[in-house]
Order: sequence, then structure tokens, then C-alpha cells
Amino acid sequence: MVTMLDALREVVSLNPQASQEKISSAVIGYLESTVAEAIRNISLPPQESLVKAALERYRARRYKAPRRRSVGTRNALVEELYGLKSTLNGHDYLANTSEEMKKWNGGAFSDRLTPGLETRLSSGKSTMLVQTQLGPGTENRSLRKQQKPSPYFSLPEVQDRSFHLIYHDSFVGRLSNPLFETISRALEERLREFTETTELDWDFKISEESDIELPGWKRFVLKISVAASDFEQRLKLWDELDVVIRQLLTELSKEHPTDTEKISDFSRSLFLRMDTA
Amino acid sequence: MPDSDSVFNKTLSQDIHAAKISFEKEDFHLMNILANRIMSDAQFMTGGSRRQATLAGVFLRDVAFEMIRVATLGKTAPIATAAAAVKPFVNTISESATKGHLTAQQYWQVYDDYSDVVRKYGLAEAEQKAYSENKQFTRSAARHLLDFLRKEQDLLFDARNLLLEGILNETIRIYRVHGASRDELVTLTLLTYLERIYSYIRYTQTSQDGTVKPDRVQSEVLPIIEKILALVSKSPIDFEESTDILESLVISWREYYVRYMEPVAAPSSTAERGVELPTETKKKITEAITRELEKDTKTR
Repeated sequence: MVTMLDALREVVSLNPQASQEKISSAVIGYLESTVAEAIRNISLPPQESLVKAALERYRARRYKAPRRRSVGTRNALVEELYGLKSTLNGHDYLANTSEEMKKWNGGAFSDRLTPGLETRLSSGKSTMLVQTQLGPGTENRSLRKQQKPSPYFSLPEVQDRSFHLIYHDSFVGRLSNPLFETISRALEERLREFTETTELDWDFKISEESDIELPGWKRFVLKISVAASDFEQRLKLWDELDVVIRQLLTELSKEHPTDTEKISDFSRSLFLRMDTA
Repeated sequence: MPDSDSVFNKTLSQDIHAAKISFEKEDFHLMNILANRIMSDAQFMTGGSRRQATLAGVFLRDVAFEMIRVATLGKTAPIATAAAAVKPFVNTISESATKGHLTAQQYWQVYDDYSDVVRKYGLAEAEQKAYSENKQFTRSAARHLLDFLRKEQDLLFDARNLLLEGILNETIRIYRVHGASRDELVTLTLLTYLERIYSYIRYTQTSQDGTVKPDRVQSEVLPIIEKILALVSKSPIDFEESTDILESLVISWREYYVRYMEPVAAPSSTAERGVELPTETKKKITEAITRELEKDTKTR
């Protein structure tokens, strides 16, 4: 069986004049390109049934700490390698017919950022914005999010949705007006900032209402729904939000002095409606 | 047997519908997948349907990308407002493409209007406050960079180059803060898809000595660069011809995907490193890594 040491000795013997740095540089360079293939080729322990995996976890509790840690580390490594294999071998997953696979219905994404995509993300800033998971091949996966075969893996966590804002069709048209766009954008940022501090789930909806008997009359409604069980708490949050929003509109008036009157009109026409049910 | 147009149209409608649903749900990563899918399906279509699918896919992918970009700006990023602001454009392109009515003129007009709206959401606060529209500067910079591309195109045979990426990087960052006219948006789109094709060529055609084999570059990349240079020499740009080029680039890109799926980072050149790793030794290294990993996964 060939070891890494054997392979390194071979490289050295083939390049007797090369410095240590050049040899390590060449080997590291090759390693970077071959790790993916090595992972694809690896044969992993077969997936155990849920029952066996649970038994192993319970058994591990009786082990001494070092052995328990090593079992945990091994399982974590196997889990990670399965995950990497699935990412690298997209087609293997399509052929996987285990029941767990059939139940899954998320989306799988490439975890590689192509240079072109990276370029499109960059706006000349000094720090990278993000390593997004967009690749040219993403549509070719069946729609599964981060597949990991049980029992080594837990089910993917459902993304917590703590903030949700929608614009009713009655208001969407307003967004083509630069001032409304500015106000809406700032409003959303401030709402997100506010809700971040509460650790509650929030739903907002912005709409424009009119009165059929008074065609000139319009108002803008910010409908608020928050997952706070306590009625008093909801009322308190309502008040706090109102203060935050009015303060924001005052700030915007100062930042846009030529639009002060229009922003004031908006503020007067804006009503916050809390879902108190 | 239904005629091919109705078959293609059904596929396109459903692809677009799925993409729109993911847009409504603000699942922009999925939207990106589905936009890629539309472009992939375009290669199996012919005639007008292929054109509709190409344009719809290009546009929806751009939207997904921009929305993801906005979302990454921070926890308070106004993603819902950005999505609501571009929704009318998504609807226009989707409806026109589904009906088979999307023309080159209409597409670029909508793309122009959409770009003006969406780019501002991707700016940092300092950029929003400091910059105002200056499309003439974008034009000037784009022309300069195209001229630079023309002069430096031999660099495309050096696997180390990121010439197209660099040009796109500069053009896009300028467009984001200053805006761009339709001509520049066309150029930008063509270069974007050309770069994706070139990435595959660089990945698959790099020799051991670090050069990119000339055949594919000469047959698939340089002629497109010439066409783009010829296009921008006329004002206004010929939108029909531009769209023809875009369609062929998209189809070619998807064909590369069928061949190679996703390219990984190109292996480093041994000449650059100055140490030779023979094929057998490389195999041994790969096997050694595999064995070591397997050892760690065995039950003790």
C-alpha cells in the first residue's frame, strides 16, 4: 500500500536538484487539484439503519471521554465526507434510491464560484462580498438542498424566517417613483434593524388603500403581524415601531430637504395596523 | 404528435413559471438554478422558441444574481423592496417570452430600464450617497477596456490570465455606480457569456507548460471579440445582431456544461513550479490521500 511518504520520496528522487520549497510547492499544487478526486474515490462505511445508529450513540455515552470523542470525530468525518461526495458526485445522488433520498425535496447547489460569477459580484470593493453558491451547473441537480444521507446526518435545518415583507400590488407601482423607492428602501432597512433585536417572527405588508367614494383620498398601510403571544407585548411593540418609523421619516426629511413636504405627506398618510388577533 | 413549437412553448412556460414562483418566495438561489435550466433547455429547442428561452434565461439569471447580491449586503439589506422594484420587469419579460413575443428591441429596452433600477440596490451606503449617474464615463471606460482587450488578446493563450474577468470587473463596478447606456449593457452581457465559455476552454485546453492550446481560442473566442468590437464601432448598436451573438454564446456555454459540467480550478503548471510530478506519482499521491481518509473513517 502506497503511503504519502512513499510518494514524496519518489518526487524527491526524481528531482534531486530541487529545493525543499519547490518540491513542497509542486506537491501542494497537485494536492489542491486532486483532493476532489480522492474524495470521490473514497469508500465510506455503509449507511447504518436508524436503529443501529441510535444504539451506537447510546453506547457511546458509556465510553470514556477520549473514546467518545474519537467516535464522535469519526462520525463527523464520515458525515462530512458523504456530504462532499454528494456535492462532487451529483449524478451519484440521482441514482441513490434509498428511502431517505426519495423523501428529500430541497435544492442542491454548486459550491464553486466561477471566476465570471465572482467578477460579477465584485464592485471593486476591497473585501469579497460573498462566496455565493452559484455555478453554471446548478440547474442540473434535482431540486434538493444540501443532501446528506441519514443516519449520519441530521435533516437540513429549515431556515428560520424571522422577517418577511411584501408589497401589495396596490403599492408596487409607487416604487417606480424615486422618492417612494427611497422611503420604502429606508423603511425596510429600519424594520429589519428593529426586528433583529426582538428575536420574534415578523410579517409586514405595505399597501395603498383608497376610498371609492372619495377618489382623491389615499392612505398607505403598513400591516404588521408578529409572533408574540402576549397581547400587551404586541401593543408595546406597535408603539415602539411607530416611534421608530416616524423618526426615520424625520431623518429622511432632513436628508432630502427638497422633498420634505412630500415625505411629511407620506408620514401623515401612513398608518400602522397591528394584527392583534 | 404535438408540433415542436407547442412542445417547446409548454416547457418554456413551465420553466419560467417555476422561476417566477421562486422569485415570489425570495428563493433567489433556486431562481438561479431555474434560470440556468431555461438556458439549458434552450439548446434543445429550435427557431423562435430557442430565442425566447435564451433571453428569458439570461434575464432571470441576472435578476437572481442581483437579488442575491443585495441580500449579501447585510442583515438590514432591503431585499423585499428590491424584489418589488424589479417585479414589473420580471413580469414583462416572463409574459412576453411565454407568449413568444419577446423581440430583441423589447428585451434590451426592458433590460436597460431594469438595470437602472436594480444597480442602486447593490451599492454600499457610501456609494449611494456619493455617486450620481454618469453614463458617459461608463461608455468611455468600456471603449477603453475593449481596446485594451483587442491589444492584449494574445494573453488569452496564457493560462494564468484573467483578462476577461478583469475587464468585466472594471466595467461592472463602473456601471454599478455610474449607470450605463443600452450599448454598454449589451457589450457587458456579451462579454459575460464569452468569459464563461473561455473559462471552460482555459480549463480544458491548458497544457503542461501553462499555455492554452490555440485551436478553441482561435475558433471560439477571438472571432466573438472581433464581432463585439465591430458592433460597438456603430452607434446605436445593432440589437438584432447582438442578440444573435448572445444566443449562440448561451447555447455554446450550455453545451460546454454538458461536456464538463462545472469546471474546477485548473491544475497548476509544473513549469511554473519547476518540479515534475509524473503521472504515476500523481496517482500514488491521490491513492495515498484516499487511503488516509478511509483509515480515519474505519471503526476502531
